Amino acid sequence: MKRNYIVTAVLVGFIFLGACTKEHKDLPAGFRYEPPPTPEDLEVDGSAETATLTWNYPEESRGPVQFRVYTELEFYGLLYIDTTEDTFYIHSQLIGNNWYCYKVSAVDTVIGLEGWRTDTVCEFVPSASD
Amino acid sequence: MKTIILAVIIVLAATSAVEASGGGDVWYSVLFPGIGQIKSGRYGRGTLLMGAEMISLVGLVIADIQYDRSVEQYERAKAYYLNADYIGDATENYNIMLKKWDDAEKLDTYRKVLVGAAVGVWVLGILDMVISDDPENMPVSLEYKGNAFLVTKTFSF
Repeated sequence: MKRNYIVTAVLVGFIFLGACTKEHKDLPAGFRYEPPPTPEDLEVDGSAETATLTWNYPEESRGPVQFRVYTELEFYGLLYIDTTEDTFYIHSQLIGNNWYCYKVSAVDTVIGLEGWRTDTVCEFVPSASD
Repeated sequence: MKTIILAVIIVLAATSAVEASGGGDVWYSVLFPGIGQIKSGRYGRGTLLMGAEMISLVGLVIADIQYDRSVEQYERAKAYYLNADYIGDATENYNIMLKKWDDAEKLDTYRKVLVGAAVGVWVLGILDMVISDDPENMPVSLEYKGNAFLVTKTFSF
């Protein structure tokens, strides 16, 4: 009788040890994303409560892309503003006499992947009465 | 399933060996390493085996918990990576995924070593009981010294 109890207890223990050795799945092979190039030479021009952004994008990389425009605000971080197909963007109805900072990125519209964002570019935007 | 079959084979082989040796205190060592030794008077050896088994099992539980956590974090990072729509998020989660994969691999090795150690100590405890001769009858001596008695108990290690 004692033997049966002990064998059962030990078997349960071994099955517990077996449960501790479940395996993890395979690692996905390689990094699969190829992002569109980053827009270059981002410039911001501030005038009368409006910021005008311009940038270049290499013509040879110009597949089906759109550009996403972001503004970077203190305490809020990076905020998405809009998407455009042009290499410029006019951000209007701003509060004058403030600094505004921007980033732009290209989005490959076929695979829906957004590439690296540009460095932040800041510009002072005067009020309309200045 | 493979593990369960292997466990049944090991346990049946060990219990058959115990049965062949006549059983007795050996059954206690089948239940947990060291108990049989302590019951038959080998306190030092019994404590050592019991301690080794405890350390292996506690280490195994800790490694298993950490492993499960790494696998969970790996799966989460993988899901974020596969569904990323920004290259920055994809790169960040890909790196997290690789790190957690490495962690899981390392912890998996620890777990296997600790399972091996736990089973090894268990088998060693049984073999020790089956192979070792019965310890000599450890005497309790009583000596009269002037106005006092000296009682001596001898332990075997």
